Amino acid sequence: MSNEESLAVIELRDVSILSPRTTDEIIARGINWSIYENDFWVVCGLSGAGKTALMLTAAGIQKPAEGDLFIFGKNIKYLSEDELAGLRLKIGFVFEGRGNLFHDLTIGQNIVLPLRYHLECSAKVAKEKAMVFAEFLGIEQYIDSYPNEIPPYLLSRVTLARALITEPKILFVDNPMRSLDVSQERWWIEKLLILLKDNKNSPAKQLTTLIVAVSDLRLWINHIHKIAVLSSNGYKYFSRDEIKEDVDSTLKELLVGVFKNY
Amino acid sequence: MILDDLFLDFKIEMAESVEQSEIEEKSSGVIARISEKLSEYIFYSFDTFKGFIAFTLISLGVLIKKFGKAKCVIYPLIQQQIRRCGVSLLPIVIFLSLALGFLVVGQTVALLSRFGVKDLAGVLMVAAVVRELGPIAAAFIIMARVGTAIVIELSTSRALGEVETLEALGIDPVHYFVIPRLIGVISGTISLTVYLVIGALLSGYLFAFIQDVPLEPWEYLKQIGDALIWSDFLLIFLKACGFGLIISVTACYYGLAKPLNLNMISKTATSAIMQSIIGCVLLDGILIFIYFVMLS
Repeated sequence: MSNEESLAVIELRDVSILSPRTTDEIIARGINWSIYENDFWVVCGLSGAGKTALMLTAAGIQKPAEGDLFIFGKNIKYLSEDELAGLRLKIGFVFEGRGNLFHDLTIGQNIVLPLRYHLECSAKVAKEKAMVFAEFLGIEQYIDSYPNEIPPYLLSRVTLARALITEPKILFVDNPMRSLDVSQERWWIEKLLILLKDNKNSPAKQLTTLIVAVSDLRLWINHIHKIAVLSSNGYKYFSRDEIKEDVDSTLKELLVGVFKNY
Repeated sequence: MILDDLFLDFKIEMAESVEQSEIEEKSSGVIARISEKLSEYIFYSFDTFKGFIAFTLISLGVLIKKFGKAKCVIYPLIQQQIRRCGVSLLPIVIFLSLALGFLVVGQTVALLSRFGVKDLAGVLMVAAVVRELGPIAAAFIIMARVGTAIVIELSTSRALGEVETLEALGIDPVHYFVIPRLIGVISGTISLTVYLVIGALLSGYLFAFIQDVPLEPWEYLKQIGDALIWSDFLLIFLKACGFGLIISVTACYYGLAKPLNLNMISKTATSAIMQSIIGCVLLDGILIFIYFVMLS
């Protein structure tokens, strides 16, 4: 069955997106976007284009100002807070920057927070599970430290572990490589690809769909299936094969040096 | 000459009338500005009050609906808040109860004995310390020490994106942030009120004893016991609960629900405390009024 015939796991229909900073300013209108199972999207755009707002809206964290958002076929307009919270558990979200960690909780407590809250599992079981993800992400030695005690570049890895611990089906990762060096950028690409494609080595077996927001598209171009480009001209969507044919100015800036004709 | 004088008079009159109209215009402008500011303030206060009531109802709704849910996460937070609002405030409450005992009880008992009406000591103590000073003093301590801190820490949590994070994790921010503080502040206010009242009454007698007041301890306790009626206990309990609810909800409302501007945090904390004071005093008046209506 092709993607278009199957049900979209997330669908935005004629959605207007609010700015996460002001909450009453609409930054984009008429967004139509369908995300299917097994999709690997990269959302790109220059700084301030609204990548975070689009990601927050598509993940159901920020409500659309206008239009309809369907998550697993359900219109969130008609869902209660509890139903929406239940749906959100199937969606992991990695926040940009320092990862919005709780600074009064240890790294381990931060990772297991959703697990302990929703499933009320014991501290021992939760810690064992946290260790699996911490080892996969190379942060196991910091499990009992507080967020201010670990190197800043590892904070977004902690957020990734926290997003994965409930074993979501869809993972949103918002600009994970901001202010990272090249080796760290490669680490992120490698780990995200394992999570999505290598079911044998991935600790998150349920994960099928990945959406990553990036500011630099060049590192991702050989791995992605679909690209959403945000620019002053609006939102555009491409499959990977269509990129070379497009002459969008934002894409040109984001892919400078990758293709000869750019 | 006459014409000149007349013209001069006319000019003076004109100048006076222009001056008068300017003054009138200015004063009417000032009045307009004052009334505009006043109406703005009234609308703002009404809006805040409406938001505050809505926030209180939402918080109480979450408290009932999610009672017992996510125990392993929420219970430690509640314990932490009870420690903060109760146990860690005990030293200052003991100090204040000693001061109250000396200032109010000790002096009043000594004065009453001097005028030969020491039989009234119990009635006065119950009216002054048990019904009034105990609950309001405990509320003010919690307001100053915990209320301000709640506004600042919740505003900071919002600024750091912790509210968004909780929503992304499917956790209700009211359940995680507000409910532990609500329970902690209410139980802290109740227990500190009890400690403050007992401490003030005991230390008051101690100061009276030091002043050689001829009042036996059992006589003093008997007077207080006789003056206390069952509705006093209900009144103290309702006051402490009400004060705790007002302090915690106001602080959480200002910390979480009001529009966030980082450079306004200190001003917001001050506003929250001022409104808590007004709320507590109003509630105090209402409860005392109901108490006397019930008694009569």
